[in-house]
Amino acid sequence: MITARYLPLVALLSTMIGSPSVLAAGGGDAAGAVPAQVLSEQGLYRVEVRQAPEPLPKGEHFSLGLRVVSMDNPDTPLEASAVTVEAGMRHGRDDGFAHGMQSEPVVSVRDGLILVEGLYFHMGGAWTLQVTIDGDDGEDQAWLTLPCCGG
Amino acid sequence: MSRLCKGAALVAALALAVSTPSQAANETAFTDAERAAVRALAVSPGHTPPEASEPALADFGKRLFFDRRLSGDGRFSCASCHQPDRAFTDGLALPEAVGRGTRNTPTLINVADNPWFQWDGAADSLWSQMLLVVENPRELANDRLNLAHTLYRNGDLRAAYQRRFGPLPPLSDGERFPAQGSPHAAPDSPGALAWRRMTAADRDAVNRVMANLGVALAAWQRRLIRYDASFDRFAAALAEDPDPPTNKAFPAAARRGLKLFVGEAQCTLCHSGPDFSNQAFHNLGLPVADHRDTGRERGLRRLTASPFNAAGPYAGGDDDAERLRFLPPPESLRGAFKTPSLRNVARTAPYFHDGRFATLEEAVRFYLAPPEGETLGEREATLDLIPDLSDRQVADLVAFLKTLDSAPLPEAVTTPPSP
Ligand code: HEC
Ligand code: HEC
Repeated sequence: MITARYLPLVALLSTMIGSPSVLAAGGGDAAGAVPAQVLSEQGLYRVEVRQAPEPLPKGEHFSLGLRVVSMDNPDTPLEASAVTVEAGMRHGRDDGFAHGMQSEPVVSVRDGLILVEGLYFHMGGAWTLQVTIDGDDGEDQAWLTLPCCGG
Repeated sequence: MSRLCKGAALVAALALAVSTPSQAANETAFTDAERAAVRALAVSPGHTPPEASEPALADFGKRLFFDRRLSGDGRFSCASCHQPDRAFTDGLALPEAVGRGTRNTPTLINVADNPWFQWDGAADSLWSQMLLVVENPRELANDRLNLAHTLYRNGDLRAAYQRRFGPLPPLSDGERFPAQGSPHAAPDSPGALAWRRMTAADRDAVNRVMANLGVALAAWQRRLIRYDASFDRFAAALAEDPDPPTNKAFPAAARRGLKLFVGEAQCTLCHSGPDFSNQAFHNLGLPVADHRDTGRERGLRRLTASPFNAAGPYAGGDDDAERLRFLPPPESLRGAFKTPSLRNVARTAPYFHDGRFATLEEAVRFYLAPPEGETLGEREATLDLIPDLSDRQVADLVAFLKTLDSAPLPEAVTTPPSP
């Protein structure tokens, strides 16, 4: 079942943008909050999390609403077709996943946001969302740490 | 049994003599984090089996469950393998019915809580699981036309069916409804040809009868819900007091085992929630015993091909078709099997999907070192998080697992119906 519980993120339009390296690592851990935004690895794009259930549910499908912009043109969001996502758990690895999800998310556009449906976390702990962006400025990847799930 | 206990006690005594700091930590009061983790596994004591929302339907399901006429040769019923006095298992590594099965018989206690059924999740609803077993040549070895005729021919079954589901199709018309046939019969066998020759509407009518039998069986299996284990009572005490006393039903070893289970041993990564299962599929890197059994890979292929899945024409309002939109590629879960519930695990030996481990101790020891031998698909790296455990820690985990036996189900639920 798809949860319809969308809550706007409070920390959404944080004006403070830290150094790309800090942001690219993605904030948050198993007990923390969903990061409001991250920069992609090479600093080409910014991924903003506009809608997320709070807290993220465990053992239930959920969706995220993303907005992705080029740093050269931050007022024009990218199309959904430029974005693919994957999620998994690192379990202490520096890169790669110890395992992925058992669900394949579907990306579409809804209300001007990139809607990522079909996310499903079957284990407690820190999950990593890998967003691959293939836009006019080239291909780049962003990683967001998503905490699973609640306290 | 008593030899095993003595052995465990001896191991425990020896380990005590050389106890390490982490073992000592397991003797102390529970931390807040541990208490929260225990709360996530527990069910409040006093939780009772649900009443059937449609008692007549559940009764019909119960009669079907114990009825040998469900098998092709009339010798086996669901209860031949799911025996009520063995927590609805058969005590065998692999079941013996019309043939020898290829997977271990799981318990049916709390089965209605599962989102996927069978070790590979080939069914996405409890009612549709019935189709998989009835036509399995090693299990009930029946076919759907034969079963529909059996219903039609036997007044008791027919009356019970028609009272809830309305008239059976005109099965006496042998032209339209041959005596035997199924889409799963061997290619080009008489049964397969007979099925293909039927009109689409008549095939649909027979499929609908099967789905209805599944609905009745599911209504009965939904009553097999039982928690109320020693563990749940200890957990209730722990919610009040970080250092509750142990007792005969929940001894000190079980208490140490519980701390390990939710902590250092990392078991709750997968055995989580009130049924001790995250209901997901994991490749544990087992040395392969049956190359054809690709686990969830095969389960996903069967699920998506089945007209009885939640997106198909026989699905009911409770079925969840939405999640079928997000199924992963089957190959990504090659060699993965469902995390089984650990409730009643002391009563459901042998263990794992192919019954390869005879005792709980063997099953737990499996986690201590990656086993050698060829595997199917890729072993999940999550398992590397499980540390090496001492003999005493293994004994403690086993002692804990033995506290997960549910209180008995009401007799009215489990006694076979009188003929
Ligand atoms: C020959 C022994 C046998 C018979 C007869 C049998 N089962 Fe099973 N049952 C099994 C085995 C083995 C499995 C696991 C199958 C698999 O994963 O492929 C199973 C799985 C199940 C499951 C899924 C449990 C879970 O946790 O996923 C349900 C429900 C079930 N059986 C109900 C029934 C019903 C209802 C009948 C009668 C219509 C029946 N079984 C007849 C052996 C049997
Ligand atoms: C990565 C997920 C995972 C972790 C972590 C895990 N298990 Fe399991 N467990 C499973 C799966 C999956 C199976 C079934 C595997 C199969 O049959 O192929 C299983 C089976 C079992 C069984 C057999 C149950 C039965 O009915 O057959 C026991 C007992 C068990 N695990 C105990 C434990 C203990 C104790 C721990 C912690 C040391 C643990 N498990 C950690 C996933 C896990």
